[in-house]
Amino acid sequence: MNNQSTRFTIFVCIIAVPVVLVIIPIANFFLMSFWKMESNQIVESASFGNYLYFFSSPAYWGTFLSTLYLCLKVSAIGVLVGYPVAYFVWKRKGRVKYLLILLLILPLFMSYIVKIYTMRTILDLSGILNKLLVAFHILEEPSRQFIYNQTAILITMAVIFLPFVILPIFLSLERIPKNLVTASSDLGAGTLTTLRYVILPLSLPGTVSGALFTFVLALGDFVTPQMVGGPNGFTFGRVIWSQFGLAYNWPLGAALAVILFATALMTIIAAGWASQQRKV
Amino acid sequence: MTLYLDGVSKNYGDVEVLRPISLEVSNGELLTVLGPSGSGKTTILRLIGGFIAPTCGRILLDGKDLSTTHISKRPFNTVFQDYALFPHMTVEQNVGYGLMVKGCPKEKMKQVVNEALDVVGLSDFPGRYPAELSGGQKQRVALARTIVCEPQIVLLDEPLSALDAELRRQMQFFLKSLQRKIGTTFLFVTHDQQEAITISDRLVVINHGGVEQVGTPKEIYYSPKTKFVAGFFGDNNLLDGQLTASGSIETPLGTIPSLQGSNLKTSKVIVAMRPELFRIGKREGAFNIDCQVQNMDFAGDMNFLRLSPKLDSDRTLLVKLSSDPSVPNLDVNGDATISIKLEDIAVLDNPR
Amino acid sequence: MHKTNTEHLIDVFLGLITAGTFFVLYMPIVVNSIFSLVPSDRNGIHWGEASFEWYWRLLENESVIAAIKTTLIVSVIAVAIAAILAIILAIYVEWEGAVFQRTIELVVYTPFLMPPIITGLSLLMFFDRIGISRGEATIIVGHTALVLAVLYRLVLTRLRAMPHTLVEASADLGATRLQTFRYVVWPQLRPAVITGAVLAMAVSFDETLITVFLAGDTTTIPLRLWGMMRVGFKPEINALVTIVLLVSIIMAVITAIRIKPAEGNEE
Repeated sequence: MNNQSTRFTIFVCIIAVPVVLVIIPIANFFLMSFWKMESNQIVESASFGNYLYFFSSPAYWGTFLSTLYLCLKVSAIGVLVGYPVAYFVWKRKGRVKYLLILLLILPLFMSYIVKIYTMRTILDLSGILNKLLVAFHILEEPSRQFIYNQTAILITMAVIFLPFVILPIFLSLERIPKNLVTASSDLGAGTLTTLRYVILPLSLPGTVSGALFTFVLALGDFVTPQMVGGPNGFTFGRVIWSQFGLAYNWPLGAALAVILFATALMTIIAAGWASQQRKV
Repeated sequence: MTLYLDGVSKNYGDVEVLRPISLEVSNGELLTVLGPSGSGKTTILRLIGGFIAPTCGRILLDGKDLSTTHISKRPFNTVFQDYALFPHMTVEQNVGYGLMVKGCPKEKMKQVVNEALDVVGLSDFPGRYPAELSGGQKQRVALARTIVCEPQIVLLDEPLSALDAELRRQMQFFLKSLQRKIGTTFLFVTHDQQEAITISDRLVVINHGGVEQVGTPKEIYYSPKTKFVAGFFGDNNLLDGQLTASGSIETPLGTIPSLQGSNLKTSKVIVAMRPELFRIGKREGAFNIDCQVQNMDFAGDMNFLRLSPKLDSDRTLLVKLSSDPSVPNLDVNGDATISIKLEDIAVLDNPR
Repeated sequence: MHKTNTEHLIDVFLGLITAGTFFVLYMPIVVNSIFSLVPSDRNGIHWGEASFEWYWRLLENESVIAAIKTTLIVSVIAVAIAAILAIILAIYVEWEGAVFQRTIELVVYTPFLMPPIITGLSLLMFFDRIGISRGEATIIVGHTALVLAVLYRLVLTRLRAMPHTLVEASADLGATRLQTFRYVVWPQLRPAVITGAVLAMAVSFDETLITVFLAGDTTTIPLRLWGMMRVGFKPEINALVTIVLLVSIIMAVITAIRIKPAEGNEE
């Protein structure tokens, strides 16, 4: 039973699956990122060509930087809207609270593609948003400024990823012992003082890690820009995706994916670090 | 049936949790392995049960080596500290588990399970789930579950440690009478000296991964072989002594005349005198100590007397006197001579 | 407790934000279900002509039926494989003192933590390299890699909560390893596996970003929807969307109800 070689065989069999499913494919595309395309054929000769191409063409790294900025805005909107919502739900009691939590979780399950589609319906020239704005005389006539551009991508991503920010914030609020809050108001602190000196600092790590995970979600998205971004709504994810579609340049796509991978990895490590900073 | 541990030891990496020990367990006895926590006592039980493999040595059952026998094939069954009852099974299913996995016919199983539940006094709730039972009842289910397997030895790993004091006493009595009734060998592990002395036929005292002493409760209590054993059970008065050529022992409190039948190995010795074996007043043929009374505490059935000997007034001796309302209290700071019979004094080697 | 005016104002303000947020988040189901029942055109919405017509028409749409079939096959197989793997991995990591424990866990979680595009294109290139053509099988592999993390996490949590003495007791009473798994371990894990399977199914039904790399000519519901949506707005889409949303909401409610008692215990 404790035979070393038997144990080793079992070990190899068990980890073979994750290795084949995850490690080898990732290693494979890292490798491919050093190859190149020549007349629609992948040529297996190692070089930094794809990376040099990325850094020397402003179109690519420009898109990369503007995507980072876009994702940052998505996360920021998520926190600005999500924190008050999470706080409000956290403050409720009993059945109401449970119902609200359920309502927070449900959107996580709703079809991603449907959410984007609905957002397109709403933001469209003939959509509800324009109808409302015209009805309230904020706009003279329906406007195209909400659809098929970067603003549309921003609004759509902010809405569809919002539940992913609210939930971690809510969970980190739940972690705060109720007696700390009671103690603070006992000492004469008002709601705002307690919020600022007790609740905000204690829920900060969870909030930051939630925001960072949302950042990663937004970073890899390519369907949203494709559906609401129109011909000019390019993000880094969509650029990578196009290398596997019409543009057909797998090695370049792989190199861009390596850059995305590294960015996501750093963000996830930062998120992990942030969540370890929690005091409660 | 005889179980023999032949130089069995256990190491985890560089940490030696059990030094090589040899130990014999014989048929029908209730043997207790006693030691403070971290002494290696549970390791012995787990080695016998087969949950862990020994680093060295052999475990022999009637001369046959069990070292490579899987847990499930050993004729021993364990009662776990947390009972380890299967939470999704009823009392009846829990007790019948050992028979079920061996493919015992349903009819036979039901009969054996009912008998076992009868023996442990739980025949009223075969359909209950463990979560619906009290601590004592869970304990009984765990016992019934092992005895239906008709093991040669029942291994009990601190089975009473989760119970409160009163229930504990009841269960100690119950365990002992159950063991008598079914006549199976019980190997019991505990850190509670009182419990060990109360229920055991024989005791094995373990400390720092090694055996200190093996013996009956009385031997362990009155004739400790090591300083640890002398100090581990109840209160004791310990003195350093020096063995002289004539066989008498020099102590700071005077010379103890030579003792019969002592086989000491070192000239440095420890003298141990139980507090309840002293009497007030000088006696012939006894070790007499002149003292000054420090205080006297009344504790109901006992009086605790603390005295400082004239020859070594920094020391405090403890004496327990059975309480008797007709005897007047001793004066605090007054003089008193206490005596202990020579045969009541335990002398043991002090290798350090 | 008496609330001051300021606190009351803050509460009302936060309540409004929350209400607004929920309104936006629940817009999809409301908008879609309305437009799937009620016809609309340039002239507005014709409330009087509501019908289930578009739902019936969906049943006649062969490509939609094929997509539903594929989605079900893919999710059932992927979840089943992932569940078995998750149980084996969790038992190995938790009880057998696995070597490289942390590394194994990191690898298992990677497809869930990384952007799906990474998992999708890495598997695409891998399958292309070893000459496997894309189809249902490749989608199943992708989904397995993704939902393994969910199932593994839930199974591991349950396994950690289960005292190891139960397994020792079973062996001690004479059970073989297989019997111990069947009679003791599995009944303990079952609730977690079922919850995990429902959750994993929900994830798999909805998976788009990995699937699109691995599908080839095969199509699943999200891919079919995407395709239909690129073409234009049709009540037929709304009908399908409503069905998809209802199914996912039902699964979410099942998961929430199943997970709730466990949360209650922690408090």
